[in-house]
Amino acid sequence: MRTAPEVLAPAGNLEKLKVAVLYGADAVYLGGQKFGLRMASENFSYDEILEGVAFAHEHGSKVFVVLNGFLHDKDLDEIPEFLELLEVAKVDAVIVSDLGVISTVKKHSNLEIHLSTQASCLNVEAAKFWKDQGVKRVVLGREVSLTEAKKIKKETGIEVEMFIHGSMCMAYSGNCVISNYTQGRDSNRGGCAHSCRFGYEMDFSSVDESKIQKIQSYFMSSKDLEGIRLIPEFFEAGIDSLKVEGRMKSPHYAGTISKVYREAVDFFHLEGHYNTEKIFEWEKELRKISHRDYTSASLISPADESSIYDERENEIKDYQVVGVMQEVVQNEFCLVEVRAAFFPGDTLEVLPYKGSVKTGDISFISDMLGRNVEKTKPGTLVKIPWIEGVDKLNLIRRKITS
Amino acid sequence: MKFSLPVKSREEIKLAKEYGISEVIISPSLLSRFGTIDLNNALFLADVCKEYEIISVLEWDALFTNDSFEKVLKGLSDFNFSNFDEIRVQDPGVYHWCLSHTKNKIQLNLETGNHNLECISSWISYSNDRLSKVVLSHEIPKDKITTYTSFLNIPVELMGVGRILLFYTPRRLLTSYHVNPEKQVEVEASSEETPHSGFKVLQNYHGTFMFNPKDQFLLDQMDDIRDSGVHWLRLDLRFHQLSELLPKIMSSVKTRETKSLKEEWPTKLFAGFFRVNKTDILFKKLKNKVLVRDDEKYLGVVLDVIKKEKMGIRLNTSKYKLSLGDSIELRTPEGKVKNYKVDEMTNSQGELVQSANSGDIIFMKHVGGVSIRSAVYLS
Ligand code: SF4
Repeated sequence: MRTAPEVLAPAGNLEKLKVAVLYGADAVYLGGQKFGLRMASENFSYDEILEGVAFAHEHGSKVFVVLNGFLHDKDLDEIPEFLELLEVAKVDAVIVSDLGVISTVKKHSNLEIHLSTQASCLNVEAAKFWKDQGVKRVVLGREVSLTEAKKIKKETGIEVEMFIHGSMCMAYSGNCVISNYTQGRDSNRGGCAHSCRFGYEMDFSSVDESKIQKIQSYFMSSKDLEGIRLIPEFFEAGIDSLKVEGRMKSPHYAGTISKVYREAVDFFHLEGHYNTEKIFEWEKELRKISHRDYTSASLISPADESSIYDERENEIKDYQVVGVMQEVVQNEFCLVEVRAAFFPGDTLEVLPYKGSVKTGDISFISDMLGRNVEKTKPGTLVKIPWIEGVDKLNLIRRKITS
Repeated sequence: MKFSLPVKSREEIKLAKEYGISEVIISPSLLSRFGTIDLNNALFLADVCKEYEIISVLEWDALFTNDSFEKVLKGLSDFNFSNFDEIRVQDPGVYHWCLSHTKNKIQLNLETGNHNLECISSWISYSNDRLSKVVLSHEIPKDKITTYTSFLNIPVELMGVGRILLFYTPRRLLTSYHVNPEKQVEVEASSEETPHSGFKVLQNYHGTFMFNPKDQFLLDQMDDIRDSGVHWLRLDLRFHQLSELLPKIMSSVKTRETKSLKEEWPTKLFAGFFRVNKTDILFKKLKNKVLVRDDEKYLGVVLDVIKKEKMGIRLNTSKYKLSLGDSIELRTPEGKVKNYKVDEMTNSQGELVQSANSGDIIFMKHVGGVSIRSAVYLS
């Protein structure tokens, strides 16, 4: 039997880490307070890394820590101390994009090194170069197809990780400095201002054959990647890890993608085929989390014009997470941390760690003082009726009606 | 100080020689991001360089996924690399391939990232003395360059004048607008979401590129450049009229008079990050520092507050437990700090509890001024 690829989920904070792990991720990746590419994200303090790693390991999942900024000398000076802490915490690997960081990691630790997609590793020769540098795994550039990835793995023997889901940088990763020059924020050290999502007016008057003169467009914005239908191809190509983008996204996102890709990988692994109605269910679930229109980008053939998301930045969201289970007292009540309003009489969906969605009729809602609540407020704790089969940290959601 | 210049024709090489340029960059469209000539023409220009005794550099800086890389290698099966003095590469794959399949000296373009000495040194040491120079990123300021040149054992190059590339994708982003995907086209783009306007957007065989509206211009800093130990300055005029600008540039370099040159330059100009790079200074503002967990004595977070009545706390750490009689510090998102001695706490079923551990939700009397998301620490 073929080895199943790992499902690798983003963990923007400790809550999302736990959610991703509980919903089935084999591994999660997270950032500390520095050295990564998401400076606006909450990220992890050192104690949170310790707790996150302990939690993940307890559940059989791995933790990778990103150090994937294009770091400057002063950043590099601070890395050895952080590496020491990561070794103590027993993280499973660091994700790095800069050769100076790789060399520093090798000098100061025995941590396993994964090459970030930020380094845009695109071909066999590049993978050979990175392997020579001590890299154990490459996260390939999103421009690489599955057949190319298969060849890279076969000809170099290096572990290969590929993105399977999430938002996409339109540029070759690491090859965009728009924010550096227009916003004074280094996009390669976590300051990207998403200028590729802006609307631009383009002047075509100098282009001879163009039938248009000026046009307003979101021509640099990419649709989101979705590879759920390509699970057999990922297996066939021998890809070691299926990565999902999105450390800045919600716990709902972390939970859903972990659950859906876990189920899809397990199904193909166990059954050896993919002729299943479940694909529609999985796709339906992936449409319940916030996303732009989906594309398979370059996984099969190079992404063309149809991969452009030529619309104002506006993620499609059909479902909203209204709460997270904080405590489940069997046959009595569930204690919920409210994330969005819901009402007595609502029917809510709960996303269990395994299996189909549960529904619950909310016959009562009460607050911390036991008083009835007519409409819940985000940032409060409420009790709702017990729903069979639900667990602590399950996500509760509601369909958005227009 | 020596000068390097991208060229497209015999006339431009002749002009380069006339104005004391030491090296020309020859960019075939198959290999170079902005190349416009075919391989035969590139070989011909390399011969012209021999005639004029000027260093010829083959530019191979486009990025390729594996299939295109293999196609390119097929196209190069009879290509005579030895016609060129040196090859300039950027992709690590091309670097690796050239080190093992050619005998030329290699120039490594490190303009994309590579902002620390350890990194640059590592690239150099991999080459086993095959590198003749490295091209540094425009984002490295002069004090850093000075440090680097004193440590590095090979010459470095900087772009003295030229367009700054902001963005490179293999996707053809203009094709939807009825432009011929096989042809090179350039349009101007502006957005109301940024104060800058007039970004040049170029689509060609290799994909789509966006450039900064202002060109980099370092000719006012020639003394600093020399003092920083830079050996090569690139005059990147590939998007401009070389025959018009080169004579004026070289005269400016001699006379140190740049005013008229700047007035005639087709775009606005600036010195980029040569003086200083503070692109990490805004990071501090990107998140609420008060909400960043300070590990020392951290306990958890306030999840709910009913003013003057009750608050619910979730304990988030396995390092400490909270017991009756403990003193806690509550730090609000606005930065206020409140202290409280825990004299009573209950669980979600209203039962009194003596202590609580990681993951537990407990309830206690509300402390005035404490709001939702306040962080809880042991005092
Ligand atoms: S602006 Fe867009 S293309 Fe550029 S780094 Fe940010 S996400 Fe990527």
